[in-house]
Amino acid sequence: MWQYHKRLQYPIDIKKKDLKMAKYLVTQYGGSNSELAAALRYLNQRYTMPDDRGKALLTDIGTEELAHIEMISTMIYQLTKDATLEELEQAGLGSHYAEHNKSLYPTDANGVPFTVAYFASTGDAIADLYEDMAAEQKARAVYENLIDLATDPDVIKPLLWLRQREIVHFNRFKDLCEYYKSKNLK
Amino acid sequence: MNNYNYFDTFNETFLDVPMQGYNPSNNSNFNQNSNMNNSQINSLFGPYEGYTKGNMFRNLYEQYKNYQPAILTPRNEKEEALLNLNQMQFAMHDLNLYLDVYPNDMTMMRQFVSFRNTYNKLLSDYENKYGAIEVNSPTLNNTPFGWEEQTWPWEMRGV
Repeated sequence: MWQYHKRLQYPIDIKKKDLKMAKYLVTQYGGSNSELAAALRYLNQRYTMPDDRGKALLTDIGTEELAHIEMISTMIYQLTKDATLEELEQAGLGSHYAEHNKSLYPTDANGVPFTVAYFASTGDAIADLYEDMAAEQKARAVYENLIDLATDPDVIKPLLWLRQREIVHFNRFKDLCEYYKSKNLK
Repeated sequence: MNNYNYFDTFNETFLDVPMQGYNPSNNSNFNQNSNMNNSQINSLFGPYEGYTKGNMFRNLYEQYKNYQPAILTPRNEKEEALLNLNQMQFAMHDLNLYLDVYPNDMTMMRQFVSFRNTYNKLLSDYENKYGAIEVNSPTLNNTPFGWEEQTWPWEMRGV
């Protein structure tokens, strides 16, 4: 089970409304390389990891991804807070308003809704861990694209931080994968 | 390209800024405090620097272009208490992930225990002063309940 901590893993304090950035950023909430996809991928794959190390690592990284979903959601919430209907329409978010008003909804940057088809689960630990490593690399690359697009340091700071977490997770998955290969586990 | 000069808004030289109380201010203190002189512990950043970078492990840290991690500066005692709590939980968590894969690393285990002990103390200090972080907090004793009324994380400001 899980217990909520009433705090963000890393602070978010965005003072400047930026609807265009919110529209790009939503991809890390509901896109193919999103934090949501990561959380569900690891928490789903953990059951068939061949030993306790794998069960522990996928549980603990999957749990951290839930905290990252909250960070991204908070950024989108703060970026769009107080936006007028006119501003939303100008930023291309009129269709979002039609479907969801100002509530959050997990889509990619093109508005395509989240789907579990974004992740796989093969029951083969080596195959799953290679997917997990690739997912961390793709998420890192998307964070770099978003940092390139961002102009506000209040947005850049947490994006740099989240990018760095992808690097740490990639290396942990890699270490586990090498260990399994050395032990002939899969 | 963006017009905002991001780099001018942060100090060029990054320092492990000491937080009052529990946070070791630099790595020599870090090693003295933990009374260890192991190469793996030397490979860790201090909790503040590790937290701002998003990575406790020196050998894994990868900078993006010339972007520097944010310097997190608390504006008041409450923000400082939360920053101390956040950084200690982060240090503990990053070692937790390491120990999942290397469960027999005694040196890292000792460091984990040290971070955890500090975290537990910081958590209880914070909750006593500013309200519950977890719903099992011993500070929730009366009506109104209190859990529902503190600022929720997405509404919080500051560090």
